[in-house]
Amino acid sequence: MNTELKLQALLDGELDARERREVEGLLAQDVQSAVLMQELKWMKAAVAGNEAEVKLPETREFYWSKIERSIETAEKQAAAAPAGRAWWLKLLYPATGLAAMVAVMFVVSGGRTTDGADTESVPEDVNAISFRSEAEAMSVVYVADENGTFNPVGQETKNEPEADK
Amino acid sequence: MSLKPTSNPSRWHSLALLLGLGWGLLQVVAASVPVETRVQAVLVWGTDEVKPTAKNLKEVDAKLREKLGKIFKWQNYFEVSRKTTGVTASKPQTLKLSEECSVDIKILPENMAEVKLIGKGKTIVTRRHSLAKPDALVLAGDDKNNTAWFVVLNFN
Repeated sequence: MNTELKLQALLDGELDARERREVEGLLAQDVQSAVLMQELKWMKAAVAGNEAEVKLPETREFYWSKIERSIETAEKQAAAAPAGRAWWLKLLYPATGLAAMVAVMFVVSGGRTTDGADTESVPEDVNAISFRSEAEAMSVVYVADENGTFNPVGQETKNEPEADK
Repeated sequence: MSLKPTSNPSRWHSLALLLGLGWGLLQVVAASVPVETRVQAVLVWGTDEVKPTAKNLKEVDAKLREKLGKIFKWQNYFEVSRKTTGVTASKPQTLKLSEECSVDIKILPENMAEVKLIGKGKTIVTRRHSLAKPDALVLAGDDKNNTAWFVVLNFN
């Protein structure tokens, strides 16, 4: 053990009686060692007087367990990060293709998603009813005109019924 | 040397992307070709009387006769005229069924067709008809002497 370590051990009270006597004899004979010892004493006093005290809000074990859990969580996240990125990349191409297909379908269909509903309109002076026969697969709009003012068939088609046979 | 089954995910993904884009391209090409809807319009006269003489009238086909007979009251249904045309969204059509009767047919968005029944230059009825259903559209009305007229439209 060199002189400096012996002086430090003396200062910290770590020497037995024999070693302490030897070091004290050295200090009495060697001025440099005595100066060094004095500096070490000042240093110890300065550190002891200005060391910041930290009070933990929880027990020491709990405090360190939190740090341990934080480290484990960070390690797991670091390990999982490359896999998550790969999963995202795996879906990138199919998702892009699907989005392109949907966009094209939307454009092609003109943005429509449903079929329109049947409606009809007639002039105010015309009465009309509409109905649907599901059995006959017919949608009917019937214009009620008792006077028969609209004759699409034409009178020349209707007259002179054939004699009963 | 060991042989292991190998797979390259990026190759499959690229293939899926190419297939998707190819399919989309086909849709665009298909959409650029106007879709024509075939429309058949038949003017029918419904009456309880027998067939008029010296008139080029024929009874409607049995299927239409049965359908009309189940809905309406008349005993006889004679076909006065029949017209067929193709209609696209950009090409409306007018079918003249008789001197006093014609129908304007227009294809609308949302898989709809608009049919206007014109009589003596006046719109008698305007019907917006969904082409999603297989239904025939029948525009009908009272005629003189307790008879009736029918315009039967089929869309294909």
